[in-house]
Amino acid sequence: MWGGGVVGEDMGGVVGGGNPATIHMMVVTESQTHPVIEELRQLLGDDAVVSARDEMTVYECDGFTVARGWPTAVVFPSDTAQVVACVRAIAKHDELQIVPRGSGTGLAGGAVAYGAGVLINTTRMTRIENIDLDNRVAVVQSGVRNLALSDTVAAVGASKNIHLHFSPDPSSQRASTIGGNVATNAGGINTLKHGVTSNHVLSVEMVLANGEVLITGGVGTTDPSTVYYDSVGPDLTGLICGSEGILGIVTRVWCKLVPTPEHFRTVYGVFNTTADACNTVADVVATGIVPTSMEMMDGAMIKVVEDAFHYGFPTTAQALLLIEIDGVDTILDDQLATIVDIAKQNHATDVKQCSDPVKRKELWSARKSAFGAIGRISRSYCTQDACVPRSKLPEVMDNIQRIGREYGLTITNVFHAGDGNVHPILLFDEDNPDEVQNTLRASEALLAYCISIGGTITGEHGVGVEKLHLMHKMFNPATIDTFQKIKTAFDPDHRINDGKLVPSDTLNIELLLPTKSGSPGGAMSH
Amino acid sequence: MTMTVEIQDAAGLVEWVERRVADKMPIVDYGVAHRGMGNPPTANEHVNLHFQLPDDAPNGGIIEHYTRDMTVRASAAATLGNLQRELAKQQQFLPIDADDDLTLGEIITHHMWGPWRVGYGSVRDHLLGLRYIDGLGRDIHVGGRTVKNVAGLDVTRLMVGSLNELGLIHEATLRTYAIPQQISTIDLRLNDPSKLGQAMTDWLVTEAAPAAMSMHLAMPCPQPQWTLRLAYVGKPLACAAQMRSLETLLETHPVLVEAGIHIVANGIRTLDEERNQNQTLTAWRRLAPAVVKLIAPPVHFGAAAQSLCEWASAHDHPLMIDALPVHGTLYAGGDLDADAAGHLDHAIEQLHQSIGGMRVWIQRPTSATFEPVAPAQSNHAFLATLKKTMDPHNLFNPGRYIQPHFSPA
Repeated sequence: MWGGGVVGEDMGGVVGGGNPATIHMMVVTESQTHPVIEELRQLLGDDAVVSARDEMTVYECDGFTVARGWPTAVVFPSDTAQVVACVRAIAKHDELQIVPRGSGTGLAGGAVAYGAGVLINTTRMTRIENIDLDNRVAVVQSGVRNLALSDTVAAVGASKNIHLHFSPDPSSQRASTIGGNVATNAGGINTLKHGVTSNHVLSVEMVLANGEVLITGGVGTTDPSTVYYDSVGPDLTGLICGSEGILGIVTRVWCKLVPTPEHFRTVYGVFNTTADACNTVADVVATGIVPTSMEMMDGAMIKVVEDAFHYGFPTTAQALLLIEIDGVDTILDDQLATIVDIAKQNHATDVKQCSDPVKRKELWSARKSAFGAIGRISRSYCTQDACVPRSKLPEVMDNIQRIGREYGLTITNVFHAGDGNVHPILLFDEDNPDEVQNTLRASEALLAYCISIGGTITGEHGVGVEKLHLMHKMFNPATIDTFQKIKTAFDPDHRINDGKLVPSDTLNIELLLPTKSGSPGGAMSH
Repeated sequence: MTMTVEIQDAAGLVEWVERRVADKMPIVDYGVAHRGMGNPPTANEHVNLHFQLPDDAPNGGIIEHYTRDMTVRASAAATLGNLQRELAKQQQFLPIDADDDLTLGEIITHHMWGPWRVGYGSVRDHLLGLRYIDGLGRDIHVGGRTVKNVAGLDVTRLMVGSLNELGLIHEATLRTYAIPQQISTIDLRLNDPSKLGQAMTDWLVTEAAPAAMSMHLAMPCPQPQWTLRLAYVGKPLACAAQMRSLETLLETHPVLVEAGIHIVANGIRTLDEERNQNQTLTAWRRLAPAVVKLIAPPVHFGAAAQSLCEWASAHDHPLMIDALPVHGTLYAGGDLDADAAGHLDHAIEQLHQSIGGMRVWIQRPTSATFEPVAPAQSNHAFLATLKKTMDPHNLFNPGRYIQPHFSPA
């Protein structure tokens, strides 16, 4: 994720103002007169097809603003039948890619049409078709926003005093769609205890490249609002979650609803070393307590946040750990006491407990404000996303700083410590070509290091085009070949979102290759 | 020609499968608890594979236990019992419901789950990574060892429930959990579970929500009595608080009051005792010649259980039934011949027409003619395409579930 000096949002909000122009990958096509546009207008109506350049600016990129491409057109179907019709119409034109897109809050360039392609935007597919409190399931069109679903479920359940919600809570949840959550297997701050999207989706409906509709999991053959918690055969639902829109277009999702936690305790600990804070994380988890979230800021980030928002954090501290637990009210205080003891055993210099809802809100606001505050100290920043074994966090934090020194960059950190999901934030000046190059190289070094200690190149942002070139470092050739073959089983002619997530033989987007201007930012080859 | 081969380590398995792929000899591995599941192998000539570690395998089949990360990498041939014994040395366990003698591979490829799914999720939720041999004899590594990972397609989860038809798993990495300080179990008795499903959501949103729940037939039909088994886990203080919430719920919730549900026993068990008890209660499924899994919307599980009981009474067939209420799954079966099992299948089909659902026969009597899975799932044809992709020579359990009309590439 790249941001540019203006307020951005952690993990998924549209990065406001981010415009690192020197490292854009810009693919401009002049295909807005393509015959498919008229065909799509015939199918959907004029108000559901956009093809004028000035109306498509917002679709030029997603939250990963480095990689950009103009679509041939953007279509806004309102139901599965219209998606099928669009796919069949587009498929007749061999040169066109079909690119699914939700709200465009993705952070890896997965929802962008590079070269000639039509975006199928699901944001008009906003119908919540069924909320079944008895079976704890909601059936939604894929364009329903994450928070809209939970809000609606809460409203429906309120009269019966049944408090359920859809658990995945990416920071983009006000904007991001359920279909997008499926595509990226979105997580969020509560992932540690409550899991990611694939843990909360029972079935999906997907339109394939040939226009056929695939329904996964156990869905009633006569009543599609009926879904089961078990099925038989390979788990296609699990495969589709996190597939970044390369297998088909998700049009409907059967979501699990789970009880909404009503009781919380929140605590934050201040430490003189990141190692002490990281050890606290591992020790808490080892007790059997599974916090809802364990979020960490390093010293530089504490100072940034404190300078910006004046929450009262000690600016000399080297680490701040924010921990929240939820569950049975009568036992939370006991769990909290255990956590406080562990923090103190790990040399916390200060531990503050918080059960007051207002104070709790302020604390979380501090955490969520972190990315916005970075703009105060750097014109541009690049947020990396990797996941490492939790026990390795102390050495990972040291090595992040080592790599920063090697490349002459300041790197600060705010991340999901409980999951081992680190987000090193590399600060740079977009007008300084050397810093841009160093940022790209430092990112590579960071991710290579994380792989070397058993980690992964992405914990939650996805591969998209951003990390495509690292897939060969992560997986052996046979495994990459397996991914490609599965892609081909779904999409034999590679018409849907090719060149994302899985290295492609037909479309290759290399962000590290220099453009014609000589700066990095990507080149595309067919 | 059929022959049985026992292999005792992953390297041996990889090498052996490579040879079978090279000579295109189908490999049949239905597991030990699922031999009757699906159709029999369609290949006339095949090899029965038995991938089992020797009893004295080091560390019970654990390859690496990352204790502070609370993850474990283990051979797919490791038995659950051995894994639990090794993990217990570090006060950890896998909240997986399966018999001790079953291998990790069988548990994953058949997506086995049970009462603990309520509080911990199923093995699908614990899996982080896999290694398997594909239909070209290649060693495929998917997923990893971190608790979050979205790099690449999630083939790890695709393999869950794959019935060994897409490849042969030889290694898995999973999350582990701390052994709870206390496990409190409660047995509740009720005569008629038919409306219990209507109270389940109300129950789950309270502090009385258990970590495990199952229902068993305590007295046979025609005048059945059912036992609902719950477990609360955690510190003693937490278990006691949840127990108090349960008592309040039972006294105040109209559906539960009407059902006459009441506590008949409670106690504190060790993890081993609880696991043994669960295995004892479901042991009949390994022995009965006819066993069917009925999957239904959870709200109807009680009505389905009652309906099966009425069928047993009407036809004078002793029937074992147990259920996993929160997720709407029931197991039914017993000493039924092919005709009786066929009648039961027909009765369940009629039940499906009123409440929805599907059925999967875990064990069918010899000469049974009904389908092992019904109704046919709409994605079945696509699964055939996927199998052709991952197992192009149709070598793994050919014809078991993913069929018909599979024509090898």
